[in-house]
Amino acid sequence: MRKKRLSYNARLLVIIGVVIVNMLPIVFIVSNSFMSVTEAAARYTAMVTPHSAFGVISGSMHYMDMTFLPTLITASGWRHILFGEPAHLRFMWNSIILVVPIVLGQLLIAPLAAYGFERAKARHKDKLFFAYIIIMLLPMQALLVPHFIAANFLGISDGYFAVILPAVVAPFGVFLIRQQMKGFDNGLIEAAKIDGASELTVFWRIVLPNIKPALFALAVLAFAEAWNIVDQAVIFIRNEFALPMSVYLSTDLTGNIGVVFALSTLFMIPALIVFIYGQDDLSEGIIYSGRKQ
Amino acid sequence: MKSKMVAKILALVFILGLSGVTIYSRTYAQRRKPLVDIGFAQSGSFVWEYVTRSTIQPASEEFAAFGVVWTIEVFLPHTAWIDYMSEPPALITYVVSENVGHRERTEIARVVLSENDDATIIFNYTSPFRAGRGDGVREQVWPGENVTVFMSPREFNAVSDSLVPTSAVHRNEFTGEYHIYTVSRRNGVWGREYVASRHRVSMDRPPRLGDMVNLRFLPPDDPIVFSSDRLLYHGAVVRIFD
Repeated sequence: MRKKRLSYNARLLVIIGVVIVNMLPIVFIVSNSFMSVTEAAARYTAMVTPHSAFGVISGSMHYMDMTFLPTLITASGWRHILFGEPAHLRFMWNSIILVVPIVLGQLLIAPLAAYGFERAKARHKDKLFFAYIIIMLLPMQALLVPHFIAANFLGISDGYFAVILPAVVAPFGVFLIRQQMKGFDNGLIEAAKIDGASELTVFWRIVLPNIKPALFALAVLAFAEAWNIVDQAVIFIRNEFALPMSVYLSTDLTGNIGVVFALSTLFMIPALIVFIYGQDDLSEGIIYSGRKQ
Repeated sequence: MKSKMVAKILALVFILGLSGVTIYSRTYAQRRKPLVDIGFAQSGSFVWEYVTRSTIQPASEEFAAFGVVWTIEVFLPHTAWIDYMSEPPALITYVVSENVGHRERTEIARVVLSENDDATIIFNYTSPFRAGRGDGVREQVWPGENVTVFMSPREFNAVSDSLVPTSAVHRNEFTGEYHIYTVSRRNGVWGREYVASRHRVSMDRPPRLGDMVNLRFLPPDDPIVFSSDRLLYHGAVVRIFD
């Protein structure tokens, strides 16, 4: 009993440690978003000297004086990004415009493709599926050149479509949904077919309602990937004002470091909301994929 | 289910909030932009006549040889136009005829600003006046007389294709330099926007009607700011007055 309790406490300690380490950057960003512009410049730019620094050296070889608690708590950064300068909000809307079609497109394409791969009576469908899944294993940077060539050929190499289309047909969603469909009870499908249901009716009325957890999991994961998109956006979106917030935040905002924390916090909020919405289904969708239902 | 409800409410609040602050900040930013009236330089000629007020008084010691001096105040409206492309130094000839009889006199004069108010620009011209020119024309000028002054450029009916209102020319109080602003279009964060660019103007004296201003660049294709409701600066994003 005592051994069990120790083991439980040890595991709890480890989990708490991991949570704290993972939460530290988020707490840091949120607390520093309430820092004044002058204090942020004094703490995090090249103005910091070795004497005033906390001994932390940043990547560009200047010192930083990090803190989790601003000297003066102010909402000036928030006021600036929300009410002062509308330019920052444009990039937020760019991210939303990019993410919504990607998520909806994946929710439309992936279940249909997975159903086809699972239920179709084609001789070499497994080999075809394997070839499709290989793409998932390749690094994204290796696929950028073929994507660019294809986008150029289609005449969409400059714009959102070049980013949205490859993301919509990404293989991971098909893989996830197909795994969920593997564990589906075929008896239900056979019964429906005996009653005269078409293939589309079977998919829409029987299969789809039963793989909702997998769909929610796919939506959350697709959102997370699309919300943080950087490489594809940099390559395919040449208009600097059409870039998503994930790229804008990584540009040189050192002249305006005070608003970077507020912008980062604002950028985190939609991801947090999506996770709150789909957290139960996310774990269920991943855990139960492949199990017989 | 509870977490889904909470997430839905948060999502709705976020989207509505984001839309609201976007609309507000864009509207507020739009109102902060200077409102400008623009146009292009026009062709025209300089011949105008203006109301004047003058006094004849005995000459000071400096001009004692002449006998009398003649001070003219010329009232110019602010809507007067100036030529910003012609060569300095600017010289104005004026033809003077008095209201008693008819006498004409041509003088080469430099116009110097003395003061101006909101309604009009006034400048003074003081000219030594020699009575009797020895050319058979006797000029009798008496103290207290009033005259009408006609102002025209050195070459009569000279045509300029680069006239702009005097309100288009600004003076830097610290450096004393003059400049005008042009407006160009560019793609901004939220679409098309207009930006003011400052161009230096070479001038010998304040821009008043009849004064000649030489620009140090070719006539711009971009429209010129004739007036604005607030102070402009180089690179300012502006609104165009419809």
